Amino acid sequence: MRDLANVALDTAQQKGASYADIRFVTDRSRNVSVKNGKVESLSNNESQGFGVRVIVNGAWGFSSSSLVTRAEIERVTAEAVQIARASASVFRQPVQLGDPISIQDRYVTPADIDVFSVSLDDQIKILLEADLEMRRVEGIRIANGMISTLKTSKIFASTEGSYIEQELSESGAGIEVYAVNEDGVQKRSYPNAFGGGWETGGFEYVHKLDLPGHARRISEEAIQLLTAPVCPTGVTNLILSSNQVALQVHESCGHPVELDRVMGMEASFAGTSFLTTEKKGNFRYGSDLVNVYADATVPRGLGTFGYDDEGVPAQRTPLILNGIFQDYITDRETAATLGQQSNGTSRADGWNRIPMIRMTNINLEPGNAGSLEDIIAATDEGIFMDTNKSWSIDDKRLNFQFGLEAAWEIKNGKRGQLYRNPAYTGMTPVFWGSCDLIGSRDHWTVWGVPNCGKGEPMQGMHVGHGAAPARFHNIKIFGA
Amino acid sequence: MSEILGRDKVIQLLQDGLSAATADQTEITFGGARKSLTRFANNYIHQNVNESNTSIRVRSVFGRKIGSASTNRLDASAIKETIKMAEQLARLQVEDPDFVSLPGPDANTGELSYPEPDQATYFSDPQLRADGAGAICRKAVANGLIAAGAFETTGVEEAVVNSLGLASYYQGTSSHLNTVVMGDAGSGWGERLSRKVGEIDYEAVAEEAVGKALRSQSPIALDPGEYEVILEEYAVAEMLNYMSYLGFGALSIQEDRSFMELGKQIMSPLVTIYDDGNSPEGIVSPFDAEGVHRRKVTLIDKGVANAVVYDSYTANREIGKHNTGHSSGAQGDVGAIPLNMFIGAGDKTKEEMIKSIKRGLWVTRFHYVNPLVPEKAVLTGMTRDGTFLIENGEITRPVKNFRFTQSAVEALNEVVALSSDRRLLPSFAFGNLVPAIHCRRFTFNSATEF
Repeated sequence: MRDLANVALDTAQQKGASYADIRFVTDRSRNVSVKNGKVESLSNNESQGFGVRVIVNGAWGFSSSSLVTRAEIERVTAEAVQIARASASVFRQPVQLGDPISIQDRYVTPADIDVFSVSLDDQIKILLEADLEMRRVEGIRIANGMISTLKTSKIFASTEGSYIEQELSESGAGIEVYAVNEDGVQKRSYPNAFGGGWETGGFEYVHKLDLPGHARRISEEAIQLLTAPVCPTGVTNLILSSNQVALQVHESCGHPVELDRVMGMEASFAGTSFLTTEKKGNFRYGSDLVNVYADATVPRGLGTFGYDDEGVPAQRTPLILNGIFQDYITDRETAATLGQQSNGTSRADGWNRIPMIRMTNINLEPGNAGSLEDIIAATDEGIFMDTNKSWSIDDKRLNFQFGLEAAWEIKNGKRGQLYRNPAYTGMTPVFWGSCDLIGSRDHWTVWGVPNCGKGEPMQGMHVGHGAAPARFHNIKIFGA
Repeated sequence: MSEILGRDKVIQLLQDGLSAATADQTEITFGGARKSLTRFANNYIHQNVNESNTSIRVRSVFGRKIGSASTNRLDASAIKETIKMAEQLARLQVEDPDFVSLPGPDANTGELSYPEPDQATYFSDPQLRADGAGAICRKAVANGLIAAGAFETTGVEEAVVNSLGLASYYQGTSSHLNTVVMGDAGSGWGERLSRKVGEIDYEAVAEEAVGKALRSQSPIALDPGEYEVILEEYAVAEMLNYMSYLGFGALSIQEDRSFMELGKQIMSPLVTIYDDGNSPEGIVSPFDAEGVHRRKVTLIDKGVANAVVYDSYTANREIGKHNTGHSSGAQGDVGAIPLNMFIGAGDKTKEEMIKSIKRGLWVTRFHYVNPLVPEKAVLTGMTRDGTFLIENGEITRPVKNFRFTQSAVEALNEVVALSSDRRLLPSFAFGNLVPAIHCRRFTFNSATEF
């Protein structure tokens, strides 16, 4: 592939590019899903191609194709140069990438059981066993289960001399049930909603989840929710499950620290950020307990890799320390505008997309409050909410509202009444400022989020969030 | 792939694939796409991309066992490998008692008729997109504002054949431009969708977004609560998109999670909603993911829940129901959905709608909408890029943005007027043609700082 890479890099330079890179990407995935005792879908997908990125006259151009031949690479590279020249007709300052980067390396995701080595028969058996358990509980209307396994092969080469090969693998699995009565639909999920749990690594993750072992519990809770009262309205101590803390981190920490958003590059679609550059190093983001890192090196994180799609090594970067905002996540272009080096977060959703700043694993570091049950025991009065059902946040990432699957009243350190349709709302810095307990490392999980959306054309991204259960005081709650 | 292959070549490619299939029934879907997008921010172009892609998807059926596989390689050996993989997967399946058959050729009657693809859109010149972006940026700069946005062109070539004799093919184009124009304390929005890039009036988009941004500066804070509102077309289209998958498909009815109570008046008698993939007023998409020609379906007839859309699977589950040609091709909870929706026009100008309101809000668009109670179409989201107070029949002041939590069905039940002008805006795949609407009540439950 080096020869084909050089076709693009040489062609780009001959046509006037001051910088060029090419990525060859092959994505392969297998998906199994079951629904109400039958296999809903069984699919095998592959997509391959290449993308060429160039800077000509100080402006970007990008073109891509699924046809990987020498002639097509020459055509697409010429097209990228033509596009860059058009970009240069409406631009302000030439793109700067900071110091050149030249790396030759190979990275492979560590895995115990190759994700494609487990037969689909065995995967179907896991899901049908869980399905049977879910539907043993009377009143369940829909039972769903899914397992997905993915492998991505990438080659990155640049005119600065980099040539990096990566073989990434990951898996995801989950189950969910729906129960219905005249008051509405109730849902419970395990280990998380909207796609289940995800990690990089091998199929051992799916085995570890033990989907059948959690099937009956979620069904029983869904049935109980049908007749539970609607969550009351008020202001109280809010305890969140670690999977919801992960999503809270995603929406109200991960997206605001993307430097391209801060600089307005996402303004027309996903929005901007309240976290303007004068806040760097001095803005109080949360209480002293709040420490957040971007860490693309944490084992098994869904946002873990060897190198980003600009060939920058994976890194661990402090974003918030003791509640004070420290730094953004960056790519080469945006970092250079602040006089910094990229902290390696530029990724693309496939060969046909341009890399942009994406979360890696944005982790809320563990505290010392023990387990979820320890946090509940330490709470005289409040509410515990579990597993996300709905999310929304404004275009500067301040006003948010989350709906959850289930909530329990907390009184004198114990779980009490179950509530349906719970929701809470708040403003980002006020909310994180109210964080007064975070669970310990033994109860800290790196949750995979496989559906982060950003950019035009839309790019989906797989990211991770380390989180433990946590408590927040004076939070507005209500029932939907 | 940079060229259009054409009907004969594509159908022959897929028929050759079918000849290698050994399953009881086989379906092969082809998708070719050329997509170009120019993105601008801070008054300059910061991304400018092009993509040429193809896809082949195979569904193999043994009895009632179904497997599927896909690739984006077009060579004969890749297609045969993909067929083999789909057949292997189908053999691993358990029987699906609800599956009857892939749609046969009798699902379609008559020849497809669709507009010729617009060559200027299919092979759009990056300089043309740069000119549009430049016009908006220059207008923003001239007014001391900052523009961001995206100008996109798409050309597609799609085909479906199956072993029962069904064969459908078409080519289509679309172009979409959006921009947000921002000042220090307020922003404005403009957006257009058309089949032809040459019909995108970027000067008008610039005028609209800049004008609204100038009027949006220094907004006042109002208390959240229930307000009489005018929802501009952008907000209406967003709300309609969520309704499309929450309740307008047969699967959601069959699984007891739809807001549609068929035969019952659930919206204002002023509201009629239909889906028509063949209307030249929309982005034509003449057949669905199974190759079945799209039928016009009236979903809401003068406020009455009239019908939902079907694919072959959901139609076969109900006695007396017909496939309406709305397969999304997606698995899971989606099923058939309408993607070319139209809300019937009203008889009011926007000015007349404003004049009829003593105190209310003008909402330009919504941001980050998500269902909170899906079966009741209760949505939450923010207002964005132009929220204004209406007092005594006039727009008086810009307002800081609100969060709404509101049932879309109930909002449409509160409609007292619709605009006579309608705007074509993106659906989740193609386009919706919608008017602005005047609702007596709309619930905002919190506010933000800007």
